[in-house]
Amino acid sequence: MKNKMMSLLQATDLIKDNMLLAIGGNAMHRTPSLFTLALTRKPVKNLKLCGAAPGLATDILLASQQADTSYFGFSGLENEAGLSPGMRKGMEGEGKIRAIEGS
Amino acid sequence: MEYGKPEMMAAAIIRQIEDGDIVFHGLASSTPMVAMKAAKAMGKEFTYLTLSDGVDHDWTRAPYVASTLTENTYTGSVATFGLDEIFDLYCSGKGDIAFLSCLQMDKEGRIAMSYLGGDYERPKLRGPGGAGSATLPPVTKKTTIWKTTHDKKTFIEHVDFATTSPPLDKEMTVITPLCIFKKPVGEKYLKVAYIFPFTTLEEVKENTGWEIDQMEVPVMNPPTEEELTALKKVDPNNILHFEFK
Repeated sequence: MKNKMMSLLQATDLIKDNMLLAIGGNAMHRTPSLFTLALTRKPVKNLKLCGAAPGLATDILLASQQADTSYFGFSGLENEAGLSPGMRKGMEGEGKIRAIEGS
Repeated sequence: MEYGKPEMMAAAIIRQIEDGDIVFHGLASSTPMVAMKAAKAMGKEFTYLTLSDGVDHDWTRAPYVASTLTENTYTGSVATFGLDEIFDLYCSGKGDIAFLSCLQMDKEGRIAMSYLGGDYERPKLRGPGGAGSATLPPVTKKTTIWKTTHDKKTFIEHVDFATTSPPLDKEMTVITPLCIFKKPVGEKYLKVAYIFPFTTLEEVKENTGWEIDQMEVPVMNPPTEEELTALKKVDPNNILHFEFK
């Protein structure tokens, strides 16, 4: 079987502009936050993100403005941390990120 | 035993569940989680589904944070049942209760979860989204909304954008810290079904953004010793109070 193990930074090389990324986990739990944090060090842009209940990992890419679209059923950090700050920054008022809500 | 608004709301949630019911709550649902664990502790025979994919998890595992995505809503489950399967089950008409909440609600029981103010493209406040609240009420027998604040900013005459509205052919129940509203089958508007023992119909009217023309409503019985004991037993870290801070 092909060995797919690689470093976090090598993995971020797989991501190109305009890609649609499915990001796992829900809210503050089980999200690949270190991966999206590593992605903020790359000049990648116009990403499309999707998840059932995206949280921290997704919000990092919304805050860094590297994503231009987010597909979600619920996007937030649950009661303890509240609404997602990156989502609010990117979607409220003149924010440029598109919210595609399917609920 | 003393009780306050959290315990009264939890007791109302417990009473909403009947033996044989299939009951689901999603994430960010600490109040129904504690109430449902207490209902299990009281021996109610219902099926408890969670967003952690658990079915009838070990209710003796106490919550330690207000999240409803942690292992204590899965460990000890009798089966693993994913969110896609939960939605399929409810869409086939077999779900009895889904516990949902809202940012705002209006007199028709329409729920705002998507945004407040502005419009969809340029909202003043971007909410978290419906999290299933558009899909579930049309197919769920007894959709139950809990909201831990009751004021005129929350319960308003008309929501700008309804993430969902209750179907005409289903009942819907709304549990607040002051009262229980019900939208009966075949009717369009919410009615006060009960007020809680520590309030008055006047106080409910003063804190609701639409005109309530009812003159008299029954008072719900306070939490029983059994309910209060069960709530204490399942929730030693007092997670029930989190949403009321």
